[in-house]
Amino acid sequence: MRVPVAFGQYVPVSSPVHRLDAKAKMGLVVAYSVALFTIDGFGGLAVMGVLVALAIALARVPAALALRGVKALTFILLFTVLAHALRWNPATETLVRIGPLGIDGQGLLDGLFFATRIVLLVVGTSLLTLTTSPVQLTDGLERLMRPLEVVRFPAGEVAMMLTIALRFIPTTAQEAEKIVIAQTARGARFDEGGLLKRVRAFVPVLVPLFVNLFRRAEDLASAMESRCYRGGSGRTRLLPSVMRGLDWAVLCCGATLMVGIGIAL
Amino acid sequence: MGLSARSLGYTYGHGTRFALEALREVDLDVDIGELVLIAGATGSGKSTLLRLLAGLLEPTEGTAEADGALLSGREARGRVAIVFQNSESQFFAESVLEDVAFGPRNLGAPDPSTVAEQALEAVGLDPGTFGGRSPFLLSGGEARRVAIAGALAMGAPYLLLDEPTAGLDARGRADVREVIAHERERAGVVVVTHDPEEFLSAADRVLALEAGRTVFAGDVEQLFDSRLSYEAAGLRLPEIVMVQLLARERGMPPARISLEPTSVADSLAGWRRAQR
Repeated sequence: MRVPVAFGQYVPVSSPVHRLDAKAKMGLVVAYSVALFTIDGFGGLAVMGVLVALAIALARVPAALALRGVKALTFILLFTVLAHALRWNPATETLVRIGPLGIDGQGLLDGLFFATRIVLLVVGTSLLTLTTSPVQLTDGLERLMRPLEVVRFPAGEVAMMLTIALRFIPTTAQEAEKIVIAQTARGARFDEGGLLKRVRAFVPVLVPLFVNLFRRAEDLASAMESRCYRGGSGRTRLLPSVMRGLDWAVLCCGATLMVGIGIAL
Repeated sequence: MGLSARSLGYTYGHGTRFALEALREVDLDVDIGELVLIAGATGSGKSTLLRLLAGLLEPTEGTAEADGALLSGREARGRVAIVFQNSESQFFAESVLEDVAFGPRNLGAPDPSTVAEQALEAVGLDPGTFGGRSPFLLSGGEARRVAIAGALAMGAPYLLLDEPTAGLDARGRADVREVIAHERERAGVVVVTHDPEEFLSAADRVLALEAGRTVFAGDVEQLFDSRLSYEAAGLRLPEIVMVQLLARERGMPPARISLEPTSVADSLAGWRRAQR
């Protein structure tokens, strides 16, 4: 029960963004990502930031949840900024100079630009998983991958695999938490010592976790087989998702807007 | 002294919009040599209470203490040991002995292997036979006893068990009950269960929870008189008790409720003879 909502985990509330078809949302995310990488100024990023903030508000998802993924990227963001800003023995003017190291003004701006781009990419794409259930998500993916069946790509099997993988993320997190608590009760310490000691401390968690995962995988496979699962080919859906007029309209307008922003800014 | 909880409460996600109150205003006392049952339906807060008593959760209200010391974090490890539901899923070592020695080794015991051997003996498993075996290849009952041994090896004066007989066959359940009866001689034992029948005859007191609140707290005799509040918590008295309560309603003179089939049969036969 104490397991926190994981980064990008579906938040089941009713909102216009939740009701939008998964395929439309995927299309928008692709357009959004492409636009982010074609934008070359802070003005464009600011517009995208406003759009993402509006989408979060419209989705009725807590902003803290949408931003949770950014926290995990702190090191990458810091590295991005520093890699652009720091200069070794700079020949040009610098903002600050400590020994042979200098902080270059333009480099700092570049670093901030790329870091902001990463933040917007993470927040925007996590909005897709926050507002789309795993089943809808994999259903949408299967539809998008369907043309690949021509070259014998197992779209159905891959979609089923993704559904199961996504379904078991929270279960696995809960199980890991249970094992951590059980081993903590036996005196295990996970927050002490250097890196190697901490890694070693997790062996009593990882071994039972994987053993239980393998057992569960075997049980699940047997249960699916006993209920006549024979692969994804020719499978039908109980609730087939269909792109409505509104979904097409939002996708077309949204994608056009993204492309426009990407080209203009 | 003893293991105690005063006005204990816990809210998951306290202070956030996901806040969920799991436990409220719970009082509990357990002394050495006592067996206390915590009963309740699924989601009633039993396991949360157990985690609070083990110092694995910080209470959001009230206090939990063992022999006057607050149960919090690592300080609680040597005072209270806990056996989780399906505890065999925490095995990780290559041998039973190594797995049981995990706790005492973490506590810095000078000879964890000897402590582990003693713990295995306490649960009725011969260290020579079982010590070297893989914990992943044990039967259900053996695995549960090894998991209990892992908790006993912590050497704590209070032992908490969450659904200790769940998923075991009759033989396995009897073995676990025997281990608990044995441990009760030296420790205070708390057993959490959603089906308290098999521990009622051995219990000193019962605490019944419903939606995180206490609906009954008292000894087993009082429980029979508070049948309605107990049943309202989604629990059911044993059939043998129900038979005696129904017999009372049909005119049998009130007598001490028994959980022993022989004693109950004798009482019923005596009443029938008297009626003739």
